Amino acid sequence: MYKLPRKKLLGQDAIPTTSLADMMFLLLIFFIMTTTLTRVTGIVTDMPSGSKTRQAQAEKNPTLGLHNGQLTLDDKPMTIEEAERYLKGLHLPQRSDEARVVVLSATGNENYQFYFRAMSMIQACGGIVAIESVEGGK
Amino acid sequence: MKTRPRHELPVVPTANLVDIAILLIIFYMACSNFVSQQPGNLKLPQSPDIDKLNEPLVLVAIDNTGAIRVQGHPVSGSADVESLVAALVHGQTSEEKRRVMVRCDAGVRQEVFGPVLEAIVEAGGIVTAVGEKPPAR
Repeated sequence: MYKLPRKKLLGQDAIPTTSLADMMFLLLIFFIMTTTLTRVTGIVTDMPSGSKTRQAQAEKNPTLGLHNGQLTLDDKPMTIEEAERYLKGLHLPQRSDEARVVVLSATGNENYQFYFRAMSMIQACGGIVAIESVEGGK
Repeated sequence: MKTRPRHELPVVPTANLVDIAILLIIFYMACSNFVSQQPGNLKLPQSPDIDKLNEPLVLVAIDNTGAIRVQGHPVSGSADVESLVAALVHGQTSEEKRRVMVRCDAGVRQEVFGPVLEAIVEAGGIVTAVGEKPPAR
């Protein structure tokens, strides 16, 4: 079998790889600059879908109201810390799914910060958030 | 005449440098997420009762002007959110894949975000609300 001389092979057919390192470093710098390694933080709320009558919900489940910047629990005004203590006292995680539902009722002018704080507090107490929109507001 | 012995400089081996760079590129490509950073003006709400989450596949964002985006594309209202989320989570049986990440500005009013949350739930998605821990005092 005829063999090509080694010198000739290297001279003609070798793929030039000298600039490969430069390209790799450019890509590397791009990915380092654009990547965010921070984990997302938040809450997972498995909200029940569908609708129930207001009265049927109120009879069974606690209702957390957000109206004009004021928090109420079953129509009694209280702070978020007081509401948290009350909900923790109900031992919601030990109950059935239906009995764990806490209705979160808010008027249209409430901001998301207040709503998110209430929603995360209900989740932390082991409740399942059911959202309810109320007409009116300020 | 006396000649000095020649001292050759030590050679740094750079043959494996490209392999290391390729491995690092693969790592960063796997870790990158471009979708979640799309919305512009957005101040996340704060709460002490939050945990670390895995990033869901579907993203709904509401910025401080009340503009709603699904997967980075602007939509006109909650009806669009419902149809898009329904299409994206359709056929997903696991709870993990039905999660919809909601990034909403802390100042947005309930009349804007309320219908969006309801639309996600009606579409079969599980609301994953993104927030931050308040800074330690």
